[in-house]
Amino acid sequence: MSEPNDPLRSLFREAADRGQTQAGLPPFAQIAERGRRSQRRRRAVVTLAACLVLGAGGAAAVTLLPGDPAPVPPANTPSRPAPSPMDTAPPPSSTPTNPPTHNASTSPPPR
Amino acid sequence: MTVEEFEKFYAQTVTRLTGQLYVMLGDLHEAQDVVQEAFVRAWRHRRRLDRDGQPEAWIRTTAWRLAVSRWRSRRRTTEAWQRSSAPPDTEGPGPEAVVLVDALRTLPAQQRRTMTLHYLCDLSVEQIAGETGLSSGTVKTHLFRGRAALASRLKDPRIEEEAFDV
Repeated sequence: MSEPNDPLRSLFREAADRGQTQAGLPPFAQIAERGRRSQRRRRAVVTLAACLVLGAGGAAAVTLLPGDPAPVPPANTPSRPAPSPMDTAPPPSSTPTNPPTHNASTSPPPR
Repeated sequence: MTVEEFEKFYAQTVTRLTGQLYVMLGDLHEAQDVVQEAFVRAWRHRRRLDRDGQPEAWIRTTAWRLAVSRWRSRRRTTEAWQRSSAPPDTEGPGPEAVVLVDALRTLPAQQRRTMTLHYLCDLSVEQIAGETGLSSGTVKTHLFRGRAALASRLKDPRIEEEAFDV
């Protein structure tokens, strides 16, 4: 490509040397401090973003997802029906398990 | 890279990198700024900075990208361009020292970068292609055209003679 003693190469080196000698470079401590600050800022931004995402997700879930339905009260208070004679009789059963007891006080005698 | 290793790396390379970026950018103040910013960013990634074995190339590439990003934002804001092109507190090299830098400023940015990587950083065509993401053919074209352009601007017959050897 080009020789080591290439005049163009020498010109490039000369220009870079002039730039290097005139450059005011900060001490390492300053770079490290800026680096730490930048790292802290970045972490804070990431944490804040994560909190926002979680908070927004939680709020959306609470709003959109259906929860347990609240107990529905009756439309009106049911009135207690008046007692009827039929209520005291036991329901008819085709296969009674217990033989009926003949009690004079509760059932009439057979005719 | 530990903190101590990073400090050593900074001490060994910051001056050299500033000189390289100065030649690439043509502005000493800007070169200092972007190299410092690149080191600040490198601090965050210092644990994996030497994983690929080229931390200096990483800093150089990051500094170049920062400079390109600044150019783009300056193009959008003329006032910002005027402010940063005339830094009040840092003096650049004298006029006798900037003949090459002035000539380089007339070249396209990518050509300037390629020329600096080759003639100052001593990188081969393949290494330049790896660092810049350009193809080897494009790198060769940049080197050929850049050298021819500099030869005519610097009016140096020795450069002109070797322009066709690239």
